[in-house]
Amino acid sequence: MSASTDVTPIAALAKLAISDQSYSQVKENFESTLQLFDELTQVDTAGIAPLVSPGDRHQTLRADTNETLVERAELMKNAPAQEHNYFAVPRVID
Amino acid sequence: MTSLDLTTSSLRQLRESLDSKQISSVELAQFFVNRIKQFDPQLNSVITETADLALEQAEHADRRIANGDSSALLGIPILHKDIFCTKGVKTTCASKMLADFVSPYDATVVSALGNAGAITLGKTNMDEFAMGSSNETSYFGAVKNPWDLSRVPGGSSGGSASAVAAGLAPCATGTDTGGSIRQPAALCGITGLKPSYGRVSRYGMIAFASSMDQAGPMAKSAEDCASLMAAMAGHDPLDSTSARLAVPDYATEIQKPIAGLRIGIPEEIFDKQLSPEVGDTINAALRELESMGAVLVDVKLPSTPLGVSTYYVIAPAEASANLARYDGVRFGYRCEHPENLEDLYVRSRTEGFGEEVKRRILVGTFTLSAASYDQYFMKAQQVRRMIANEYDEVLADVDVIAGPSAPNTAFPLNDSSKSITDMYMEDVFTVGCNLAGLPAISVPAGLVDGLPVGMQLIGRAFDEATVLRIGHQFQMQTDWHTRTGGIEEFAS
Repeated sequence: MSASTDVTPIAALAKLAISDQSYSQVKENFESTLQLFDELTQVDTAGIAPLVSPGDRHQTLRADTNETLVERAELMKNAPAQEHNYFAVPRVID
Repeated sequence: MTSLDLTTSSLRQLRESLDSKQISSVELAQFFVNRIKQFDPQLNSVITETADLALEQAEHADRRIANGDSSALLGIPILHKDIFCTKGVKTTCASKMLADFVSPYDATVVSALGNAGAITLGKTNMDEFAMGSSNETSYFGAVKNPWDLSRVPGGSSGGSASAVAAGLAPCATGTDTGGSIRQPAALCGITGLKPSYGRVSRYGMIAFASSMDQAGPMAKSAEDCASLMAAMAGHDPLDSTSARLAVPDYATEIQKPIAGLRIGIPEEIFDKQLSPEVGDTINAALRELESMGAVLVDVKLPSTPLGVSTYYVIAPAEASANLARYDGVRFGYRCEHPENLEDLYVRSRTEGFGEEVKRRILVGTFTLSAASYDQYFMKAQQVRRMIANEYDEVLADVDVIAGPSAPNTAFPLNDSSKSITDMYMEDVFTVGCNLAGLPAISVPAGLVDGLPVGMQLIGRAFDEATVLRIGHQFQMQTDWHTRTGGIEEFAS
């Protein structure tokens, strides 16, 4: 990690905007959090397999069959905007 | 009505009162509805009250009771953390992003407790998307600790803890990703259980960090938590990480004495991060367990100090992926007059999320990026394995591991002396269980300057029975869990 990071491209990846007024505070908080992680880089983890989830020991899957848990009309009630029973967004193709 | 003090009654006492017709479920529900109205304006522990629903469910419960049904939770009121989807009721996750979201289905935890006859009083306040240890990140405002209104209740299940501690409900649900049941339980003087990963269904529980999130009960005692777990635990085909394992009869298991049980005390917990007064209180509680016949054993968990940094890599990484779904398109907050699709995404997320949530999304996005993945995310997962292995090795020799649930008692609201990373260190004793997927309970163990201290007991995977048992037996010998913080005093 470099001493100074430009957080704007990271925010862009996360689809977030950082205002000019808040930029220095956001950057400072971000960097102080990364400093917390420095101790991890000192740990010798050679040959240790990553643990992704404790649930890996007992994952159980359902049969791959089609079933309706919630009706479409119910789901659409929370849509911020809809047209013809589809989610509506600003025009994508002119 | 009844001479029973409903605010301090155990679930068993409430059951007996309902069965003996000393009180009806409708009267019980109305009592707590009124109590929420009277006291919650000062605590802010409830986001959505569901009085009409509660009374309707209570009428149904009374009919079942009249027909001779005496199921343990039938007619017992409960509050649900506002992270659980509740059909037809707002489910906000304490975020502007979901402020108007009405779930089209119930979380399995909600339906399981509902089927057991529990009465839904409402939805409790929490840190936004469960990200916080003080309940100050809620879009709906901070929750206050009933023991001292100038202090935090802990988080993220701070509303549930505050409400139960203040007697606004006999019990509540919570979730725990890095300590979010145990730390607020400790700071509010109640009992909270974080079950093993996979023991309780996560279906319909809004995701924060999917490999660590787990639902659990919050109540006045381990016995009450055992009663709630009987309904909450078990395999759910709707959650692929839900374990297909038999659920023990917790009510029977907790009655067994603890003589001969081996309790590991990790030397790493009594370090500089622990308040000396909290340490003394925990030591006294451990001596109590020893006097009951438990065997205290010194153990080592050398990677424990790495838990917080490991957790704060993994949890934000998983959160950044989980929270990508909030894009203003299908549900949740959408910005006004978006210029184009990109503007809709960016402004909906920027305006809809609070600062702590955005901070963690940024960190998670960074650690998952190609350039940082191995250095941070992969590394953290390897250290996670080391931590989990250490727990497994220690728990092969002892039945449980004991220590404090939190390094301090409840701290002041708006404590500007606490940096963001100081706040993260509040989780130092709790995150290990989440990383390893182990069950752990927090039980009240004493007071420091009039504020509660919680003792944590960590068990082997899927051995909730033993931590509940030790908690219950400890509570048979002590009265810390019966203390309350003076809620009546601020009523006038």
